Amino acid sequence: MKRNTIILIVIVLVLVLIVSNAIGRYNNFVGLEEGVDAAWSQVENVYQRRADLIPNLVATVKGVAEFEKETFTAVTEARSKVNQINLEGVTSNQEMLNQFQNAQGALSSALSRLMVVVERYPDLKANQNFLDLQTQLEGTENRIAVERRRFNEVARGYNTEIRKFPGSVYAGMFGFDRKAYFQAEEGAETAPQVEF
Amino acid sequence: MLVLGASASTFYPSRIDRRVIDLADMMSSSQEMELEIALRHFEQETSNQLVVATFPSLEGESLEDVSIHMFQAWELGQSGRDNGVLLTIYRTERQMRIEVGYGLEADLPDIMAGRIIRDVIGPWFKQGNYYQGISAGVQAIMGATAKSYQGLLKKEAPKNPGSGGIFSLLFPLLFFLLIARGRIGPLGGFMLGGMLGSAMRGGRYHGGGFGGGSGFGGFSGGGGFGGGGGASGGW
Repeated sequence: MKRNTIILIVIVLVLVLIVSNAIGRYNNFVGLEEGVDAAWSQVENVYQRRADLIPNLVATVKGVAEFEKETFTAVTEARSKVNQINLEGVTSNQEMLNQFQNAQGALSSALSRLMVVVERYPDLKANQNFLDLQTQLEGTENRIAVERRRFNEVARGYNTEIRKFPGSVYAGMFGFDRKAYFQAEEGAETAPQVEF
Repeated sequence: MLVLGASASTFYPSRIDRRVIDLADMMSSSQEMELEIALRHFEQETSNQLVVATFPSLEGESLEDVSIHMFQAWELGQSGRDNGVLLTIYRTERQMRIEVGYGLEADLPDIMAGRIIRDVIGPWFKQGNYYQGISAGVQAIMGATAKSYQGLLKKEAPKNPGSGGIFSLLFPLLFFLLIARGRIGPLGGFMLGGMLGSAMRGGRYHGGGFGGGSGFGGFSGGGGFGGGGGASGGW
């Protein structure tokens, strides 16, 4: 075999190696990014689930605790603010994610104030419909915590992969951006205090 | 495997080999056995994995956090079906939680889980009849979730892990032929095969397979997931 042919074969092999490595990495990034997107849609789902509960909850509480107008308006206002938030590309934009988180946080605290107010009405606490709604709300808040934590885990895995060398070179080439995280909330772990 | 933020203290076992874990000693050993048999039978019938665990105390941890961590550590429910349910009871705090896997959220919604705690288990527990309460609660959970995956355990064959379809069979054959005919050396063939193989492995294969519920006695999680569904309550 001629020498030139051998050199040519080696060059071709090296090229194939590089290209297939790039393909492999690209596919890996795509898979990871899909994971992040899936985790995000779960986050959106659980927040939506909470938003869907609110009209029913307000209606039930309103019937019994009609004097607490301010608390209701706070909840409905916080809810409409959440709805106004643009979620296009939110997972790649830390600032947008912070905004989303703040709006949802405002809704959380409005809701927990509502639940504190409700403690003053024994009628409600004996109302099966209300107890069910309370269970649903608690379940939804818990789901939110779980899905947010999972989103952060998956986003962290993806971010690590695209930042590690040499993957970072390919990530830059193919335009894979860093994903944003949910920030730990101060006092999020503590339940609201009931004051009488 | 997805690992959630590690819990500070782990008073619960990281693996379980039974469906009834009575660390708070709320049942007699014959009652435990009876419950274990019922749960195993239920899993064989429906493939749903239901586990009951009692603990002396929460040790200052959050009920919901501990519950989801346990659920994930024990991998309750079959992979892809996520049909696990975990009932945990904390004796000192007089608290309990029903954690429901993704796949059973429709059959056992939070409202129903909450009612089972409030109306089925709670009244028995208030009287100190723990076994009665647990047994009634377990029956209620079984009743709610029995239809979902009934019979699927026996029918379904394990999935084929090959994601490349016919090509994953074709390529090695092609290389073998090329090598055999002396077109490329064995090393070249090996390299090319490896490269193409890695380029083709796009999607990740999600392992199927079932937990060993079928044997006598043993238990192992099937790899299910939960998303914080269920309800908590006290007595």
